[in-house]
Amino acid sequence: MNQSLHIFRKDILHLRPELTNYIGLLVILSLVAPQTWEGAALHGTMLGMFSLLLKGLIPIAMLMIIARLIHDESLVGDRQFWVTRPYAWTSLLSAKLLFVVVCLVLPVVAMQWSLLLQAGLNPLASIPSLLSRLVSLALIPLLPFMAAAVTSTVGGAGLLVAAFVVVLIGVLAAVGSEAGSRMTPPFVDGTFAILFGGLLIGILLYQYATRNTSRARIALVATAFLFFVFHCCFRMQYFAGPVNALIRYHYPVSTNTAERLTFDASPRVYQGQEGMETANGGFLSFLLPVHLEGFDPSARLHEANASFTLDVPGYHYTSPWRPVTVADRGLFLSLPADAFKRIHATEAHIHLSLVAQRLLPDTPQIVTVANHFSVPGGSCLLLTDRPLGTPLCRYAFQSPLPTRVNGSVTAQFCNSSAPTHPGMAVMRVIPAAGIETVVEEPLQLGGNVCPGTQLTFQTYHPADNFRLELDIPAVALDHYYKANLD
Amino acid sequence: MTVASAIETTALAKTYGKTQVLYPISLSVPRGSVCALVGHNGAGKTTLIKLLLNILPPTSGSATVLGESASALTGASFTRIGYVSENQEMPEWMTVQGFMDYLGPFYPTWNDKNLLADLDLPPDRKLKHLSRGMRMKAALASILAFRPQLIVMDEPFSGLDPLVRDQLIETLLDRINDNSDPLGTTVLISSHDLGEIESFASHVIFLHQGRLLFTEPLDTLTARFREVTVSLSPSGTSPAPLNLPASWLLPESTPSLLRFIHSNAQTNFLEEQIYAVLPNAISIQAEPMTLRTIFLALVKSSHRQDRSRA
Repeated sequence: MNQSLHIFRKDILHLRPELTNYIGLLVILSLVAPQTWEGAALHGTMLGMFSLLLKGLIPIAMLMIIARLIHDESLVGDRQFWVTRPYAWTSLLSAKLLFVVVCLVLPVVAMQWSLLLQAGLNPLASIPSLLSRLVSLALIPLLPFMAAAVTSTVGGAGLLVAAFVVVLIGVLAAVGSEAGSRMTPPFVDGTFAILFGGLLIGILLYQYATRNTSRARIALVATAFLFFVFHCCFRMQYFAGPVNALIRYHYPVSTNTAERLTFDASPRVYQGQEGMETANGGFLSFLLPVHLEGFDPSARLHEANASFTLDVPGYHYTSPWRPVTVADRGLFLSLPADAFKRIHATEAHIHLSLVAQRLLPDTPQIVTVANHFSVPGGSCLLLTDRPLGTPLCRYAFQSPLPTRVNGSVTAQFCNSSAPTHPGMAVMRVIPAAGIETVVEEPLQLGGNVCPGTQLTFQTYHPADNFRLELDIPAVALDHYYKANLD
Repeated sequence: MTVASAIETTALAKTYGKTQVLYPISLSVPRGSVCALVGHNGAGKTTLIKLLLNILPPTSGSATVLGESASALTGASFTRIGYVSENQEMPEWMTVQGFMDYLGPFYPTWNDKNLLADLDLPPDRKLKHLSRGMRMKAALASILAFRPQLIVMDEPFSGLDPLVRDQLIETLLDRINDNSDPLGTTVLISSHDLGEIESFASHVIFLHQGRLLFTEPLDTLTARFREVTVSLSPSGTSPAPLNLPASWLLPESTPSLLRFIHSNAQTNFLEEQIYAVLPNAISIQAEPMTLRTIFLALVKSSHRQDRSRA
């Protein structure tokens, strides 16, 4: 440990100018970003571009510092002074990791903490999110760390990271656009992170222990290749069997016998917007009149996904698990366009599986609207530059579960005689990306919200995961799709 | 491996792809010796040193350094081994004193008192601003400060002016003579500067084109080699070079004179041996040779043999 601290001190001394610049960027961002938030004086000005530029520069600065840090005791080559000095590789690696955490990650956390305070959010209430983000931030430098460990120049490390990112984006774009949106099965992200993060860490340890760069490079390329193959195979449903088993295990059949899916068998002719003709990556969507019955009206479905099998003589299709919205009209499902054209007039046997998380309501919380007011998990303010009476709410990182908001709103300017009507909104906040901390979301209740109005925030908590199955022995999809296929 | 050996190799070899840069080498460097590793450029000196210090892995064979397997040398082993190389990458941003201060805590026996002053090194100057000679002196200071049992130097005098070279050698010898280790400090030094090395080396290892030609004490070597000039009677016939003994290298003859390098001249019966081969010899002159002239003779002889084989 003494040796680690000794190397750590040396690295701080050496990289002091770079660290000063890096921390300077973080400080500037923590001062500039709040000025670009909605409702701030400089919102909508060029300062927003500057803030965006800072958010781009910070990861680049981090990459360069990591590369210089690792190259101070380069692992590549046979002329480095340190390889014939009493360095323990474990101490060297510990020193570098300590530097990354203390000098690179913790300043980002401090910057995020500062942004939360400036947004009127309590960082202590966001500790789980902060910790989760801290773990992610600590993992993000792993790739440049690894790249620097098998290269000898900052440019080489940068190119390696850039190449990986470009190929990753290319593969994700190619596979993603072909397959459309998909459910992320349980444990998959964690398994991928553990498997490939573990492999990267293993290669890093091997490289530090042996300095066998050629083998480490081969292992790195093989890992990247394996990652892309795994990812493609996963997206192309090559792992459908295990994934289905995993999903069925994670979403057991509902024990509530009243809950069931029903199919409205009466043939229908499409009207209006039902059965919209859509083509997405070669898939066509059709609206199947399937309804969920017996579901507790006070509960909510969360992250509902569906998969189905379709059988006609001479043809079998199993759909991937896709996100669905369980609406009154039914469920939108997708089928490859060419398959649809072949079997649309034939009676098909469909077996549908729906999985979801059940959310149960917490005790509702009533808040009174003011210029600034706290809400569950965040804080809101009434903006003067928006349509009168639209509160803007801010959350730390994200609001993980939907929140239902009810209250009286008016279609007119706020005054005591303005007629009001009930308004309702469901807040679903998209997670912040990158080093962003504060997520902004307007609270649109369908009218103006006036100061003094009481709003009811209905939050939910996860109760259980469940699965419902439905067998439809004979259905002609023609009835549920309006397009002229010829 | 004997206790008295600081370095011992057994069929140690290195190949890069299809290129054999070091053929199997077996040698021993006694403890307390100053061993000169000589050979022309590309002979494999640096590769041998890097194999010994576990900077490169061997393709085959093995070596022990101070009793430890060379391939198992770890950071801790380098508290006993000091390495200086002309090509070593240094932390250029550090000052000389900063470099010494940084390295000090790594060694339990560190003592750099008066070392920088003895070597006329400016403590506050950054390593990147040092001349070649100064850099080498700083590198030497950084290993002498921990009194290693084995010092390995790869071309330390290359490109240095005579003054700096003398200062380096003087400091090196002063410090290794001060060493309290009863077995003494062993020095393995590769160099082209054979004149300088000869003044203090006790042993020589000779590499040529990746092969070990010989390894022996310097006094034995210099006793073994003689530059021999034989005056011949004009009436006799000088022998064809192929008929000369194999230990007579680089023979050059005229009808009245034969000149050659005798590589096995330590015998007391040198003249009798020559008269036996050359009955028409009138007089024999055998001059001692310097390490440099021995080295050149061996290289030329090797080239001549290569050409004749081709």
